[in-house]
Amino acid sequence: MTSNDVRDILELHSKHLNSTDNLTPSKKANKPEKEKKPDGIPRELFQLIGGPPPIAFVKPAFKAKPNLRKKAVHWEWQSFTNQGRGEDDQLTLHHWVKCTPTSESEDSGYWFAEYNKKIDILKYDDEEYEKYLTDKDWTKEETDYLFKLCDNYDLRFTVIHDRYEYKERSMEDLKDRYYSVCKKLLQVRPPEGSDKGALIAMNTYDKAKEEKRKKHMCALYLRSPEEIKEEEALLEEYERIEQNEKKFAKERENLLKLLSFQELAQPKRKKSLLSGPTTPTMEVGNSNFHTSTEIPKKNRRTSASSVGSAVIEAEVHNAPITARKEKFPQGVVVRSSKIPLPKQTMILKVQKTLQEFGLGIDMINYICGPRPSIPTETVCARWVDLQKAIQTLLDVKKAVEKADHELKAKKVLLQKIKQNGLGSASKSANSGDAGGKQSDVTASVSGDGGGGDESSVVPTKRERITLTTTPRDAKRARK
Amino acid sequence: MSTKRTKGVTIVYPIVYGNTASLLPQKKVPDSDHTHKWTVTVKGINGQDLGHFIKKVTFKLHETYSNPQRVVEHPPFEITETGWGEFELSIKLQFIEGSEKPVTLYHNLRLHSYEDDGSISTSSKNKPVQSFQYDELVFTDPPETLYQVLTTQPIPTLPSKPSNSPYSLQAEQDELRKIDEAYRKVQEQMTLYKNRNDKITKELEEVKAELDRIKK
Repeated sequence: MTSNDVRDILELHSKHLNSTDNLTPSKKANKPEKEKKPDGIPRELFQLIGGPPPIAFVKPAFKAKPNLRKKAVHWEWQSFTNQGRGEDDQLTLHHWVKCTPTSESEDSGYWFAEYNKKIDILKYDDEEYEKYLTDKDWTKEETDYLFKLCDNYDLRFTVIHDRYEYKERSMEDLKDRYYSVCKKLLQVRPPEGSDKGALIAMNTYDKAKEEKRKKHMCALYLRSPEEIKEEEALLEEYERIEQNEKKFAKERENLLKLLSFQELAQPKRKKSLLSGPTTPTMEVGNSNFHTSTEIPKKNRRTSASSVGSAVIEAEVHNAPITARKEKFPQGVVVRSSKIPLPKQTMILKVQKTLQEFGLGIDMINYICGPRPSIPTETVCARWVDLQKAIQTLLDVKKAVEKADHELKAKKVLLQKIKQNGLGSASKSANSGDAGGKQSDVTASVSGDGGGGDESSVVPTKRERITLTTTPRDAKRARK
Repeated sequence: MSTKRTKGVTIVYPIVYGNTASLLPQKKVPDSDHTHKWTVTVKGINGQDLGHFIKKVTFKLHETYSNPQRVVEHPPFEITETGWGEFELSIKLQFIEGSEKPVTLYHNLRLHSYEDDGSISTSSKNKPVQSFQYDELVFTDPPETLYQVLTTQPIPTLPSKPSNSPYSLQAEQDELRKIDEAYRKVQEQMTLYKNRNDKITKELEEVKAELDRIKK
């Protein structure tokens, strides 16, 4: 029987005929092989290299070779007792002990026993208790019980408090009682050489303080994150304020000085000054939590201002007399050069006007404008006033001329409207305004005769009317 | 070199500066085209020299002159030259106290005599032409040296009546009077114009109102 026969019986299909059987395992086998080839490298290279390696971190395990040279050490299973466990207890324990030639025998004792330190707490007898240690809150029994626990548990109050089963007492209570007892005993007993004061100091226990402290700690521990942030921000601000306090104080000082100076120098603005500085200093004061200093400062300011006003009044009285005095800078000055020049555009006009009055003659175009022939102090002062007046007069003249022209134009327009009717009203209104303006520009006059003739605008009826009036106006003005 | 200033003290020193010019007789120097001889001076009002407080004077003439910067270090502070044209020259006064800044005066050299309206006069060629200016040097808070000098030497005051120089107290008074007169006139005009302005503005408003009414 060949395998084929067996297969027939079992109705298994032959390997070769059914190609699918072959292919499916081979496909599966091929699939992992047919990885997508990356573009960068040629096919053969990829097949050699196998693409990027799989990411697998293998810890570099340093395997130290076991030291097989030495012989095995002999260990012994021994029993022992722990001396630290107390006398009643006879518990036998066992452990492995290395058998070295120098090893000690069992008798030396448990090595860790020496770490069992015992605190020697003070002990009192009944006499002492009767004399010094009675307390209304604590019975002798309870105190004894407490002390026993303290002794047992080596003054580990957390444990003591946990094991305390006499009454409902807080840890602070227990501590308080214990330390007060010890303190009393130390005070009462004769000094034992060492620093008694230090021992007493060590045994002082402030119950209230401790309770408070623990409460604070709890609260601190139980803060929510928002609360923590808030607190930190507040702290920061407080620190900043502390740092800047000095700066603020200085600034306040400077401000006050400035104000007192200003008040002395500017008499007219007294009122505004007094109302003004109250606000900044008050703000500064509030922000610095120094409201107490405000009131004395206010008083200081008012006194300064009253002094200042007295000084100022004196100055003001003297002012008109001495106002005319030259306010020249230090050094030498030629008086005529100090006469203020009129505006650039007006210099010539002013000069002409002055010449009409018979002043400033026999000057031929000086750099420093028209000047009096004998520039003494008074002359110069009056000269300056005159110049100013002339300037203002010329300005007024100009304005008046302008207004005059405008008026005339409007009047003519009105007449025309009345004559022609409302039809031509809008047209004439627009052109009339334009015409009026142009004639103003060209015909602005102050002693310059015939200036209006230079206009380049084609004169309309209206404009001709205005132009012919200007020379007459000029003559009138001159006279 | 600390020069203390006498504070609160103002000293005024009047001076006169300008030039005289005379026509040159043409016979003497026929080659040059200089027609006039002129002298520029800086003096006190009564002709006093200023040497006690002025160290030196620098006259800056027209650039066509050789050495246009003429320095005179001792009184009398003047320059005499010949020329044919009128120009502006500057006069820089430097004081004995070095810390005080020098002061510059300007003067238009005048060679020809002019009529009142500015045209050159053809007559009276023989008279020397004069053109002077009065001015005052104001020393504010003068340093010690200057203070000493200026207080010891008498400061010339304007003579009450004009004598050889046209500058006098009377002239000052005349000037003042003129100025005041002018001022008064200006004020008069001002009031006139103000009234006119008021009238015009009133009228203008009326006319405007009418126009607006008509437009509507």
